[in-house]
Amino acid sequence: MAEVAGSLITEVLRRVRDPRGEAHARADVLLLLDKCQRIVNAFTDQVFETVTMDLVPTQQVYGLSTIEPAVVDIKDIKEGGRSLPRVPWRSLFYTDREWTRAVASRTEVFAQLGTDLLVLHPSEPIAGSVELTYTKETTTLVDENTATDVIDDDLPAVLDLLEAVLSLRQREFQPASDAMARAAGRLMMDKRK
Amino acid sequence: MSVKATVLDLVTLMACGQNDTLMSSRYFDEVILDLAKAQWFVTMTGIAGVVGQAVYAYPAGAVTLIGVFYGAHQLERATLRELEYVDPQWRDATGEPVCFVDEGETTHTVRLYPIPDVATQPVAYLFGEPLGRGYPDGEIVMLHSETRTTVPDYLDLPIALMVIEREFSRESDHQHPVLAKQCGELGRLMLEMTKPSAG
Repeated sequence: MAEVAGSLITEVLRRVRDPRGEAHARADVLLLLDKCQRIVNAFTDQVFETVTMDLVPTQQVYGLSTIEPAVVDIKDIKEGGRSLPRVPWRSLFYTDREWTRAVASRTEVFAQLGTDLLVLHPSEPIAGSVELTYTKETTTLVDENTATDVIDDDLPAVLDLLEAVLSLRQREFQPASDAMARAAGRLMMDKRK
Repeated sequence: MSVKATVLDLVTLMACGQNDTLMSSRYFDEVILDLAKAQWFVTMTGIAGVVGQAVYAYPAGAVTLIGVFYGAHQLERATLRELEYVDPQWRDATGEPVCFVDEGETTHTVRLYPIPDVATQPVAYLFGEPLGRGYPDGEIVMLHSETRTTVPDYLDLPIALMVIEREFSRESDHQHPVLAKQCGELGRLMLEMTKPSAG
């Protein structure tokens, strides 16, 4: 069940021993909570969305921000119910030096370059569409009554990360270090996708 | 997307107002440059090929060159030694470029081999840009990383923390090496968490 931001702010202020929000104004904590939940979700990919993306004939390279500004990372691309494998974009060159002009009846693979560019290879000769599933930026927390987007399982990591941020702000370094370690441990960073 | 001012406000919030705003602005630019070098921000830019011109400068704002395309071909990066083996007179050869070299060239320029002998055809963009069939022959496209003044919202906080790392590392009336180190570590942890999946 989604938690409202206010209860999470109360919890984390208790952790940093500022229950009245005197060192950290609740509005500031709300802002930092918003940032932390985005970061945790960018790692866990639990909040995502699927959109239909139109394909332009013979075009392979697309700007992600023009497709959907809230894209953090591509999870899956489906064409006709078939998931396309993700490949390193450099492998396209090793397969075919003229890969940019390759045209076929269906798209076979996709590659992502940085945060901005998506390659769908090969291109198709007629207009079509694919289903793009992506990790999205979580909804902005506008006030304390706004519910968080992240799933309940990720909330402990969000709170740990926020506790680390606030501990640094109040110059308490051992608690900050402990909170960082807890967040990394909860997210099992060594088992990164 | 967040503009630079938004991130700098976050820096001031995290630093409790102790930071120097002018230096923070400069450190923001440095952090963005580091992210560009790590290929976080990537784009493609077209450059008109000129008959007889072998050397082309990076597009404005480009940091790291990732790939070069000439017409339909992605060009291989060659070394001077390889080109010397192919043709001792390689600098004078003309034809359709098959590779590029940046070794020995002025910073942020590349030399195509052979020298293009076809001018860029008129841009049609009937289909598919960039690099689709409408893309003109003779056009050079550079795939490169670049610096930005706007960043995705989820990078605000890690960038702010890395600015604080720099701000509190330098000698000043508020120098604090421990704070700097921990902010840097937390910022890099957050960047690692938000990094796009390896392609």
